[in-house]
Amino acid sequence: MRLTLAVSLLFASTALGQSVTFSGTAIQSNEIVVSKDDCTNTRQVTWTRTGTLSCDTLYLWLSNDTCTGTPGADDVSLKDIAQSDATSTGTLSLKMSDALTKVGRTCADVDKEVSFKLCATTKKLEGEITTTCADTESSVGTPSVTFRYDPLPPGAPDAPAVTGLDSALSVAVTAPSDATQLRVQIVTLTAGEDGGTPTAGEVLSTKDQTTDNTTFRMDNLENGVEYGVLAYALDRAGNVSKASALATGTPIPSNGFWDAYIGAGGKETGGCGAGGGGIALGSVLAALGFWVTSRRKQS
Amino acid sequence: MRRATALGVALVCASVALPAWAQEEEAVVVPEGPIESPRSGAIVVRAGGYKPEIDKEKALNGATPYKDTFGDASLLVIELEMQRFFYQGIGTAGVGLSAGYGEKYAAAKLVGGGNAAEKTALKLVPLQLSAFYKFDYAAFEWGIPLVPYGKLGLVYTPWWVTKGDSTNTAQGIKGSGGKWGWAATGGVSFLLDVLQPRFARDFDSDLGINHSYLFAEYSYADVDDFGGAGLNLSSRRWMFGLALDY
Repeated sequence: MRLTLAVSLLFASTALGQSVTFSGTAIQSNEIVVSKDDCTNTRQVTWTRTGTLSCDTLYLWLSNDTCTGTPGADDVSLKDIAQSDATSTGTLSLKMSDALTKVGRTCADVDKEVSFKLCATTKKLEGEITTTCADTESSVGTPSVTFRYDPLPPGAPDAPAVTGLDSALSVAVTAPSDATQLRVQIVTLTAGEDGGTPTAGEVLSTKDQTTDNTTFRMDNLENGVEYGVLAYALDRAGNVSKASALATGTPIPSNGFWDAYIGAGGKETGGCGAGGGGIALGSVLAALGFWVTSRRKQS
Repeated sequence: MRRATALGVALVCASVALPAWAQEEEAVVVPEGPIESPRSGAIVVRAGGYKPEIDKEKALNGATPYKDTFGDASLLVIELEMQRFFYQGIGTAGVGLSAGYGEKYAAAKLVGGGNAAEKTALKLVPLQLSAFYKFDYAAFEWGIPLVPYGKLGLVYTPWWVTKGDSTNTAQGIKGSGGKWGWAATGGVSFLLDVLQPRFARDFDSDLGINHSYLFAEYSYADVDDFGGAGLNLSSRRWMFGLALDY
């Protein structure tokens, strides 16, 4: 009797356990965020389902509200999987412009964040040991993925703090709160009219870093030349802020300890020392080291 | 009758003594005091200041690039040594192999002599193969918890100099290499077992650590390719650490 009940529960739970998993590199922290530039581009999401469809069709869709019921006129239907369809995985193509069109908007005219839910809904059995289906479709998709349109760039960083290094500049940027990445550009300086304030000229080099590291080292610059430095902030959608105010910096030659030593007449030429003898003795050291550390303790 | 009595006594004695003798052959000998696991080597961790005698290089003619850059400060060196005992009698002798790491940072200098925003560093990895002897007989047999010891070893020290985030190069010469040398070390260890004998026994029975020591040692190291030209990484230094016999 107990075995029969357990088997019944097992089958029932399999039927109840219909679930859809969304995955793919486009999903980051359970969100797919697109910028205005990416509004018409397609994002791919893989879906995988387990269990059996006991009651009804499985709907995969984008909702402008919540993940219950079936796709309406203002939702984007992505795929319907009939009860008889054994397909267990596939790819969905999400396009923000399509979702906005369904709600009567376009990529160009939206000037604030808009979110949609990536949904998987179907009718489920009402209980563990019943064969009665629920009246309405409920969500079976995990994780809960938000498809978000972010047309707004982050605020521009303040003018970066620039320190001259030997053939390089150290650039410290303060990241705006909504930034996930920072970008620093080294530019030539164009003299202002009548000796006025110089302006940014040609871009010489660019480097991106996450906001975990807000200090940039910009190499391969010429000592004694003044360069312009611009900083930008990027958000998760890839929106790029306006440029910071122009900062300037000049690489300065400096001497490390080795410069001081060689400059003082030190005769060291580097290398491993003692040539072949060094290699031979190194080998002996390695062999003895192995012997010292590998022998087991007797007990 | 006397003879019969004597024979009877002899038989009785034999009947008592023979089984006793037979039992003696099978008797289990229980050693006095706690049982100690075999001792075959040691792990040693030590740290201390390392001030290389770079400024004593003859070719520098009295110039002091190390002092000018790093001041009078030493590098902090941390070393790990594995020892293997090959003699345990009146004291313990064996060989050891140690590896360490030390570094010293300072501001690079501007042409005018001021400090630059960039850092420069000297980094070392002292490696040493040594033979050692420690007089631990007095500690184990007489209960005197001090163990004097001496070491003589071959040293190889890879080194490199950085400026910013790369190896410093000057006049086309890259600031990295390795130096050979030798070192003599003398020190004294304090046997920690005397402080907590019960804990020391548990340490042995549970982990196989026979003895533990705190020690101080002084090293006289000539690391200049045996008198060759170039960077002089010789040093005279104190180091302190912990040693575990296993």
